[in-house]
Order: sequence, then structure tokens, then C-alpha cells
Amino acid sequence: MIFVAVGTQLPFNRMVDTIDRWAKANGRKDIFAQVGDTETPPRFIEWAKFLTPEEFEERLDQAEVVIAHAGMGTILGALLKGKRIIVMPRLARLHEQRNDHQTATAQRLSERGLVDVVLDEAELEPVLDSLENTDTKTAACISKYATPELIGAIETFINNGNVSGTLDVPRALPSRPAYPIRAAGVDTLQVVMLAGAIRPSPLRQAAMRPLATLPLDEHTTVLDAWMQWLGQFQRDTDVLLVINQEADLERLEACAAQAMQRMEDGPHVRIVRDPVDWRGSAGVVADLRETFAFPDAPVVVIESSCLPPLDYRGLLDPLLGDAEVVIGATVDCAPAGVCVLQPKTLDVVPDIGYFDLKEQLIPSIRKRGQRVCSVEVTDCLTRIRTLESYITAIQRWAMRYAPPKSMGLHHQATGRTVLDRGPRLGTCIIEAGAEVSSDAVVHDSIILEGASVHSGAVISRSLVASGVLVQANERIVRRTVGGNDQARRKIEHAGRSGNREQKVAVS
Amino acid sequence: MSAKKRVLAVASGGGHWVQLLRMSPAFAEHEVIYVTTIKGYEDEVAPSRLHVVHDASRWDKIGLLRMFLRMAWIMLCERPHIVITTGAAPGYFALRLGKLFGAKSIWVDSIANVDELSMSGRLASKHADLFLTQWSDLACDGGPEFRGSVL
Repeated sequence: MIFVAVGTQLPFNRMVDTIDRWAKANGRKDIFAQVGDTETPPRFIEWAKFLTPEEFEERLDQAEVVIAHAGMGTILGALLKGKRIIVMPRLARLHEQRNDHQTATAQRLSERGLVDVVLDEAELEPVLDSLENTDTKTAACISKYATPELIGAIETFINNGNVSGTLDVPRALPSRPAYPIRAAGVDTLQVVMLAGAIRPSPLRQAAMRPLATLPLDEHTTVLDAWMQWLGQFQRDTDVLLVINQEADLERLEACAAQAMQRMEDGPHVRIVRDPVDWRGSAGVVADLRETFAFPDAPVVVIESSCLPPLDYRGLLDPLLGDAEVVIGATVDCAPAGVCVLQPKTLDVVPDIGYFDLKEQLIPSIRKRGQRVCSVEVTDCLTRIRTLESYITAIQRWAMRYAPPKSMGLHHQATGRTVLDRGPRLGTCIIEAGAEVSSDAVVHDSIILEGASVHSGAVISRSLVASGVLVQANERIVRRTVGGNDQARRKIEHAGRSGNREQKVAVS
Repeated sequence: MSAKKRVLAVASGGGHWVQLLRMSPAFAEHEVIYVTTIKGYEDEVAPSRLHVVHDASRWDKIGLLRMFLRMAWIMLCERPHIVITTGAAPGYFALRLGKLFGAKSIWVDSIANVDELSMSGRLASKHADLFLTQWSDLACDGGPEFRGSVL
């Protein structure tokens, strides 16, 4: 059963009609819609204008999926019952709501994994089509009442007339003494940044460039982000960027040169080819030992296709004690994409064969009775591997560097623009050198240099790679276009434009 | 254990109401009187009393006047010690009227306002004794405080 709800205020025909058409096309009979006070009720699904609270509860209980406007009443109701909820925000410019707060609310709640968001009818249809396959998806569930902090604060205020102190909001990790003082024994750092993968991810193939060169905002690539992170140590740093495909060389070189140029006295980057295939991460690091500029310095090993952790402090301290390996960890003890080794630990690595860092090197060091310790450096690891994870990384990056209280600055800093100032929504990156028509709608998407997007096109939660041409009025939703995808797309596109001509002929 | 107080809990129907009820354990041990804009919520809050006021938006001046008068009447009858509200228009009126009758007021801005405070929240900010936002990044000195959320 699918339960559609538009809330108690205005009707929301844009959403209901889409579902109505879809129900007709797919012969679905198990849909019920609460449609508000509309003059054009749906024709192919059951409906009611309004529901009493009891009826509403009952419909929620029967539903497997709830599709609703992004109103808090419906969202909270569905979450309380542990139902999966897909929300479509009302838009002010279509007079569906006084302002666009629903778009912002929906996005914030979706970042917390509570709701799925579709921004318009075009996005809703593919989601409806996919419902069949994903009905096992577990929905978020929330507790019956507000957080204990909120209830406690109100309770105290009612009883005592005031609330003392302030609530500690964990914004950043607890501060530790700054590095130049603590890890005074460490003057240099040797960094090995792994920029290749045994099997390139689909995102890598579509984008046609190494993941480390992808942009996180208009001015920063993933590599830049890591260089900034390394810069915080204030140490002489030699960075070896390891690739395993010759094809990656040119772009990474350009990207590294740019990164070094931006940071005066920043780390120095050299790009090296992975000497032997199938050597494993620890194997690669050990093989490169001869080329280290600082052979005695601690070795920092970085997975470059991750977002750098929030913090860097504390990572070197254990080395001054007796630790041989320090693993950067997330607050829930997962690896955070970075670890630091004493160079002599690499003696363990055999000269030939596959040897992994996390699964072989670290366990064997522990087995020898040497100390391995972990230091919390971030809240969670954001690994860039798929389109979705890349978009998440961009959003996290934007949030991390956005001044929290000034939205104006926030938009400026992250390239975010609000709805009624132009057709760019959410967190979009349009690289310099990409041509995007001013009336093309771009939402939470990445347009790489050399791509061109014609007028009237809609691009939503997608990546458009270099050299791709998006035709006028074309819709690209939750896809990567580029690389190997291009040939297939041409065929698809030919098919679709054929359909459009037919429709025109009929009308 | 402090004395039992009369708490007037006000919210317009829909999302604001659901959020208000999620905070209800905070005032469960006091005498609670609810005010909303939609009939049919009685069962949810029984045995507490529920008053219904006329619903109106900021453009419906006559509707607002009706809401205001009804709220004033409720205030006269109930004489609450505390007014707590999540918004919108009825909450604003209740908060201002409550002040006249000497009640302490709590405004919890709706969780739907993620980027900025609601219009009624901004109006109410000067008059609320405890003014809370549900998003930590909206909290600031001289503005709303963050002390948790309904979610």
C-alpha cells in the first residue's frame, strides 16, 4: 500500500497528478491519497480531501511507503511508525507554499538519513518505478518524544523559571595541544598518497579522470583538500602520489602543480607510478621506500579518494611514545582514510607478493608485540566511490567550511544559491570551462570542464563529464554521463527524441 | 518537587502540533491546557482540555482578529503560569497575551526552519522568556538557544 499525503493546508496537485498518472500507467490499485481541498481530484487512485487524526494513523499503519509534501507533521508521523517516506518539497514560485523552507528542511533531513527527497515530478517518476525493487529498504525510526535535552530544558524552565548553563554542542572534536609544541621530535613527514585502485570505480570511469582531481567546490579538488590538511602539520613534507594507470598522469600532474602553487611553503608533491601491479597498499609503500625524501620520518599513508578527516592533531603524538603505527579513526572506531607508520615497520613487508596495510601489515605488527594505536580524527569517513558518495562528500565539504550563522556567506563560499535567485539548487559545482545555459536547471550536480548544457535541460543529482553535450530540454536524473556511458547514451537519446517527435505529431 | 502549574500549550494544526506533542513529557506533571486550530485532536490529549481557535494566516486580517479575541478569552478563563508554543500565529498571540497576564513563555521554533527562523518566531523572539531553535547552527548570542530538538 502506498499512502500519499499533502497535509492540511493547500492541495499539491503537481505531486498527486504525477502519482495518479503513474498508477494508471502501471495499473496500481493499492494507492490512497489525501489530496487537500482540490478541484481536480485524482481519477485512478482512491482519495479523500482530509483525514481525521484516527484515519490518518490508520492509513499510515497500512502503508508500506509514504509519499508526501515535505511537511513536518506527515514526516514525523511516518518516521514514528518506521515507514519509509519520500518527500517532494512544495515550491514558493509555483505558489504551493509561502516560502521555500520545505526544500531546505527536506535536504537537511535527508542528510540525516531520515527521508528520501525528490525535487520535482521528473525525479518522482523514476523513484516510483524503483519502489518495487526497494520495498525491503529499512526506514529510519525515531523515538516517541523529543530529545531528552529539549524535554529537560523545558521541564527545568517550567519548574524554576530559567535554564542555566548552555548545552554542549559537539561541533568539532575536542581540542588538543597544537602540534608545533607537542610533537617537537618530528621535523619532517613522508607522505604516500594512494591515488589508484586495482579496479577503477564506475564514477572514475564516467568522470574520465582520477578521483583525486574531482572538485569539492569551485576552487578545491580532493587533492587540494588533502594538501591543506597536510599543511596543518607545519612540517617539511614530501608527498608521493602513487598512480597505477599511465593515463592518470597528465591530469594529476596539472592538479598537483596547481595545489602546490596555491600553498606557499606547502607540501611538495611527486607523482610516481605504482612499481608493480598487485602489490597491495603496504607493498606499494615499502617498494617506494628508496624514493623517500625523508627516509627516517614517519610515513603518512593516505587513501586519496576520501575526504580528509576533520582533525590532524594527536596523530603524531603516540609515535613519540612507543607506538609503531597510529591509525586515524572515526568516532565509531572505523578507519578514517589515513594512518601513520614508523618507517622501520615496513621491514615486515615481504619483497614479493600482495601485502595489504590494514589487513596484513598492522596485524603482523601487533603480533610482534609492538604497539598500534588509534586516534579519533573525524566523525565519519566519506569515501568517494559512487556518484551518491561523491555528492555526499561535496555536501559535507560545504558544511565543514560554511560559516554556520551567516547564510549569505555560506552561499558565496560554497556556490550554493537559493531557489528564487536562479535555477541552481542545493550544492552544485560547475567547473570553469563548462558551458551551462543560464536557464538550465542544475540541482546537487557536478558539471565538469568542457561539458556543455543547453537551455531548458534539467540536471539533478548527476555528474556530467568533460566533452558531454546535454541537449536542450533533456533531463538527467541521478546519473553519471560521460566515459563509457557516452556511447550508450547516444542510443538512448536517439530513442527518446524519437518519442518526443511522436508526441508532437499526436498533439 | 515544585508546585503544580497551569501550562498553556499552543500550536496550529499539522506539523506544529505534532512537534508540540513530542515535547509533552516536559509538562506532563503539570496541569496542561491545549490550544490548536483543528478540531479532532481531543482524543490525543484527553483528559487535558483542548480549545480550538480560528485558523488564519498573516494575510487574513479578520481571521487573525477572531483568533486573537478567542485567544484572549481562553487566557482570561485559564490564567496559565506558563505558555509554551511551537508556532505559528496562534502561538504568537498566546505568547503576547500570556505576558499581559503574567505568564512565563517558551517559544520552540519549528524544526522545519532550518536556514532561518520562522516569521512568527522572529516576531516572538523579543517577547519569549525562553527562545529555542532546533538547529544548533541557528543558535547565537542574543538570539535563540539550541537545547536539542524534537527529532
